[in-house]
Amino acid sequence: MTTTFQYESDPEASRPVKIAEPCEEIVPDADFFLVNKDAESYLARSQADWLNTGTSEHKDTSTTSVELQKKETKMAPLYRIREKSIIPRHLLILQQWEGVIEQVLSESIVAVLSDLTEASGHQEIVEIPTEEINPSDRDLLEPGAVFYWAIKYEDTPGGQRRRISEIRMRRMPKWSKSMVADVEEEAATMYQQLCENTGDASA
Amino acid sequence: MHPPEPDEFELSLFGPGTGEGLVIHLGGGDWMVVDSCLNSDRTKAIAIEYLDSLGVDVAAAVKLVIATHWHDDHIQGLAQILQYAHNARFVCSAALRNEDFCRLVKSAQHINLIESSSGTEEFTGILDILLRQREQTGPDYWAQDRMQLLKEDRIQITALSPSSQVVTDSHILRTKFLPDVGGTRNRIPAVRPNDTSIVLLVETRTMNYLLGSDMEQGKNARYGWKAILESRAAMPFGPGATYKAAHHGSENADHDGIWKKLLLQNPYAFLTPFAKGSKPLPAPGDIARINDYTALGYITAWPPTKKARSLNKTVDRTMNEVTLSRRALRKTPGHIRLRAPLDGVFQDIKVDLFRGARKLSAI
Repeated sequence: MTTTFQYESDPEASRPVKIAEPCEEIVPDADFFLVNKDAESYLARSQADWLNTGTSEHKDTSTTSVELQKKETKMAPLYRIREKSIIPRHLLILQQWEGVIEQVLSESIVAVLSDLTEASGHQEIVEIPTEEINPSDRDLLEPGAVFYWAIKYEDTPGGQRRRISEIRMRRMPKWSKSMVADVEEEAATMYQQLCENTGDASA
Repeated sequence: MHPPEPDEFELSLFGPGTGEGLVIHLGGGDWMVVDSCLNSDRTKAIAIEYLDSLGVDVAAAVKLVIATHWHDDHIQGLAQILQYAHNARFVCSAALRNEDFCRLVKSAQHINLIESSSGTEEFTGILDILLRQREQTGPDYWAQDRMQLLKEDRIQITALSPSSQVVTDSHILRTKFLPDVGGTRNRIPAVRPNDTSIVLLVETRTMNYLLGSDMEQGKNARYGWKAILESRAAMPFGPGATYKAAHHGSENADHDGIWKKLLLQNPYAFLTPFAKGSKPLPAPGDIARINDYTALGYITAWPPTKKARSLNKTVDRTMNEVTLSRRALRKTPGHIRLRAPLDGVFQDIKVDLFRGARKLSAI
């Protein structure tokens, strides 16, 4: 079995590496953990040792009884390369907007953006193609729906700079039964008060 | 600017890219405010800013504050006006004395947004002020057709709508945005329909002024302009010399009968733009149609939007790449001011334009 993964610290970061390839390249940079203590002791052995008894592609026919025992309890070490999301990223936010959808057209939305970066009261009306919205968010597109739009730079550990435009629909909470009951009660009180005030005083 | 003379009528219409507010001198130093929008830096109701600039004591001089309907672009800053205008009577549409409207107002309190607050929150603010300052649980008047809101020797103000059909239709405000278990708590959009709007007739001794709010044609003779035109037979009034065009001059808010039955020939027609939405109002066809009816059409601001430009070039570049179109809302309200003697005639009307207001035929 071959598993592919990436070096976390490799600036090129896209080069796939087979687990069966010489581990000298992998181990020094890998952030790995072990599934159990047997595996931990197993890993404590020299790299040369476990390379000899390692994956099916490197089976050694001249194994000793001790090595056979090790083979029985052997469990392939599980390497987990640190995910990119937990690498400290440097983000420089250039602009943030709160958007409210005014109209949903066949292939786009019309929205009013309010500036969140500066309290300038600046507003823009934009038409955004639906394809710019995450597919999983598209069922949320309706008049009154709210989204946030951030434009930012991301500086990667590898020294790259990316310009990011991120539109995220706000997943507004659902009306719960108790909340609807509260609204009904408050509205009934308000309606009663409005009716008490006839508002029909003559001019 | 100097205030009007005591015997001078003034009608000032303000409107930025989106928003509308009227400030009207009733004579004798008394004023009325109809709807509201904010000033350039969006900190103050434009009516307060304007009346302050004229040296008018808002607390004493404003006699009536009218919310013609509950659209965001007509009510921003209304609560602030009522807070200052201690002597004013507050008027809103009788169609809002409705359980569904109360549900919309109360449900908006359960939705928190950073910048884009819902217009229904303004209503909550007004109710708070009325209760706190006047121990009053609602407006002074629930206006509906043929209701007189002010009657003085020099001036009368009458509501021509909403029609009794609209007021008694308890489902008129029913909308899918009412809270429903399992439904999403989205921002409450505009409270529709526009049939709930208050159309106002202002009558001086010699001239009439028709303020169309956002009234639309109406689906039949019991709704909208059709109902107003129908009921005119029961309450005749002279044709208007000036018309605040309904709903930003849009086609669905226009009716031939308005121009032929309710207005003088070639009247003054004022309107505000509405830039939110995929196509701004008035559309080119609307401008052409109004220009056909009158040569005296004016608009508070045009174009209602300007080219959007951020201070940061990278932001600009990204937004231009992502969007199909992008426009910045014009923040400065334009101003059309009409003044005429309270007992003057059509030829005495004087119109001045400020802050980018324009003649419609020049667009």
